[in-house]
Amino acid sequence: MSPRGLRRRWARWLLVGLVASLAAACAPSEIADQRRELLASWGEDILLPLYAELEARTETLDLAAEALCAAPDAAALEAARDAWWSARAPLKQAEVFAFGPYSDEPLRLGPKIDFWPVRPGSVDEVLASEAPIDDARVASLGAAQSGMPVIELLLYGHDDGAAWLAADPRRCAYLTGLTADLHDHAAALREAWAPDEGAWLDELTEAGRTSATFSTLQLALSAMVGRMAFTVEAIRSDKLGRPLGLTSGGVPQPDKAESQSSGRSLEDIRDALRGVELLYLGADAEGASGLDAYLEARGRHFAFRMTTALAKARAALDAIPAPLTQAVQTDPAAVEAAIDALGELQRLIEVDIANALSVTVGFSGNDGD
Amino acid sequence: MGHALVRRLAAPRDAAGLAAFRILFGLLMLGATVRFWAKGWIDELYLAPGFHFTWAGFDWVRPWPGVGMYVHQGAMALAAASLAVGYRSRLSAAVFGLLFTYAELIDKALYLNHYYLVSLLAALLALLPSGAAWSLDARRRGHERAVPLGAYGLLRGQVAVVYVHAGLAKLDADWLLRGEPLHTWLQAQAHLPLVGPLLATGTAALALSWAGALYDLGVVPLLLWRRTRALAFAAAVVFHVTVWLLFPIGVFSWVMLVSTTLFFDPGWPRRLLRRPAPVLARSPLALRRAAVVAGCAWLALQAALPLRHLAFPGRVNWTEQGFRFAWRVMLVEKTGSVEYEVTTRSPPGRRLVFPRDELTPLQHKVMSTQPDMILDYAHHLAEQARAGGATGIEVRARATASLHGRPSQPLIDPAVDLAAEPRGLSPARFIVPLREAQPSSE
Repeated sequence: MSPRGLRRRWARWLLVGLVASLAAACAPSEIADQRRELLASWGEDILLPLYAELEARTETLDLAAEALCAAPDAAALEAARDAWWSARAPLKQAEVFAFGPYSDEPLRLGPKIDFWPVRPGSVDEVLASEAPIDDARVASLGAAQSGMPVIELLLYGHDDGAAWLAADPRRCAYLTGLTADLHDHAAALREAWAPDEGAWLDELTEAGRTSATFSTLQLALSAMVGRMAFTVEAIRSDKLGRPLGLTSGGVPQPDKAESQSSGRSLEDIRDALRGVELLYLGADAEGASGLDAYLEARGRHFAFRMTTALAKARAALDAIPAPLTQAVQTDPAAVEAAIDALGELQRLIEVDIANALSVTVGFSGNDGD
Repeated sequence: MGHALVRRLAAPRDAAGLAAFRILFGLLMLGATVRFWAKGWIDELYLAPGFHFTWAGFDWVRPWPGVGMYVHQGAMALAAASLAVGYRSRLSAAVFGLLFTYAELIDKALYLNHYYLVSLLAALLALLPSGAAWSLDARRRGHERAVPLGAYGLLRGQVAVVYVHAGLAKLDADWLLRGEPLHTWLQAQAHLPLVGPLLATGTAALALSWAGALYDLGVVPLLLWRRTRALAFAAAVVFHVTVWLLFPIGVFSWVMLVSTTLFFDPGWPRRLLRRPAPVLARSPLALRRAAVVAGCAWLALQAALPLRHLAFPGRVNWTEQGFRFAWRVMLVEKTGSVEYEVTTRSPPGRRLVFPRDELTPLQHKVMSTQPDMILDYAHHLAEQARAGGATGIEVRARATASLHGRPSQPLIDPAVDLAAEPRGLSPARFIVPLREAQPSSE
């Protein structure tokens, strides 16, 4: 090679070196990915503790029902009602996780635990039939004849509940059969998610690795953000809109309300909302993380808007005079105001936050572009 | 039309390049059809929805009943295979194109730019002599034929239209100055080993945005110039494979990569396979002037169609008027939420409708950001109410959307009765203009 060619080659390498150095100097600082940690925290710090709590509280309910039927009186009835009321909280707070073992075969535990609105006619059918009510019979009952809403009807559906239960042994057999069955299903739900048992949690935390449900981390995150928005929409559409007659029927339909006998409809809604809030802010546990922290790490600050929207939604719910079954007839404007306030929250999650995260709300797909 | 131009376009060229494109395209479509079936999309996208967003003028296009859509998809696969082996090439391309286009016309929610490109390329293959070589047609004839240069010109022109308009669409402040939507999209890739955390940065998004725009605008001239062709093809491979790896865009990358081979010297497959080149006649082939006129008209239409958004007010990425059939590829991150209020005078009533109840997740996602589909669904709700015996029906939408990280804002004017708004190509007065406030981080 001639000296001139050699010089050219050196000059070329020098240029490459300069460009590489410049690129290295300008290289942006790296952004760590925390989605897997976030999904794991949602599962381990929120979902599993809630389902463990549900399992424990349904056991308490089962014991309280046994005690009530052994000695039916007002105090025992009150204890059983308290136990039922208390068991609702973790179930409703975990509603944002109502997919996987909750909704899909082969387990599909959700309808067995919480099929609503209750159908009194279906309950009467069981009580009126002559078939003995034992464990096998209870296990074979359909969703409309089992689960928490039926237990609620048996506990709250009659003015003198203790006497009503004592009047026919089939009623107590049905009640105690259902509470034992509920406890079994609550245990099955926790076990289905638990890492050392059914390990459905791995479907989320191992997204993009071994998960059969989520082929990428982003799909798992999308599903969870989608669940947050859907939970709020379901409150608006099903839990408020339907009893109000705004999303169906055109006239108030109190019998379409959730937890209508106990008057827990609004508390159920507050609990479901609390579940959404937990996902956003993270659990109150050491090392727990929430969506807010993930967004903050990406320079996206939604905390103020989110807490404001949640506060407005709660205030609107508080403005509805309990119980909801009466309010839909006596103060429909308050119920509709809550639907609107929750709409702001839904849009914040479904539009703004989803946009900031580029998450596709929903499980389905086609190719893009 | 100048005689010289016709003579120039009629110049004989080796048909091997066109044959290679036909074979690769046919195989790709066969694979895509089988994949579509295997993913369960025939049921999920065509059969499961109780409502379809039909195209104006094509409302009669519906999914076939029973197993009809499976038969349809099977026939499509057969036609693609037939095209690949060159059995009655033109007819195979026509059959494939018609079946493919029919399936895509079933629902607006299924529209994808590359599906449109597939329809166009199939139409061109139905018109061009792609079975002149390396085909059962040629074997049946007993000899191969040369093809006119114009055949390559038409296909190259079609591919050039795609790239150039895709590049022009990227000359936008969001793309070039903010690196959006790539910045948002690439954050989803932060888990990738080594490059992930870097890809998630704003700097990387900006660099890749500029690189993407320059690639789209520059690749065609670089492919046309012999001296830069190899470099351009290498860039195309890197670009399309990267896009395919990072984003869920199905066969789009492969269609575009296969299309770049059209710019090679027509004899490239023979050189690759070390086959002797055919002896080409020096005299021009028979090429009718009408065919040249039709080809030029096709390209002119293709070049003009993507510009129709200029006839509408507002930003096309927001209004989406003139967005489709315009090669605005991988350009928009828009999320939306929509619900409806249906009021009737008789019987007097008001109803809040959440479209999620009736639509599939894909339909719901797509329609919530696209004004014409929001209008379509409003008409559907009005029709439902009318069928139920109601009169004095009004439908209003509460639709909110966010574009490229901007704070959400109304997309549709909630005061407008959409039931009274016509479907059509005129500017939609019910779309709320995009507020040009700077996107904030809240």
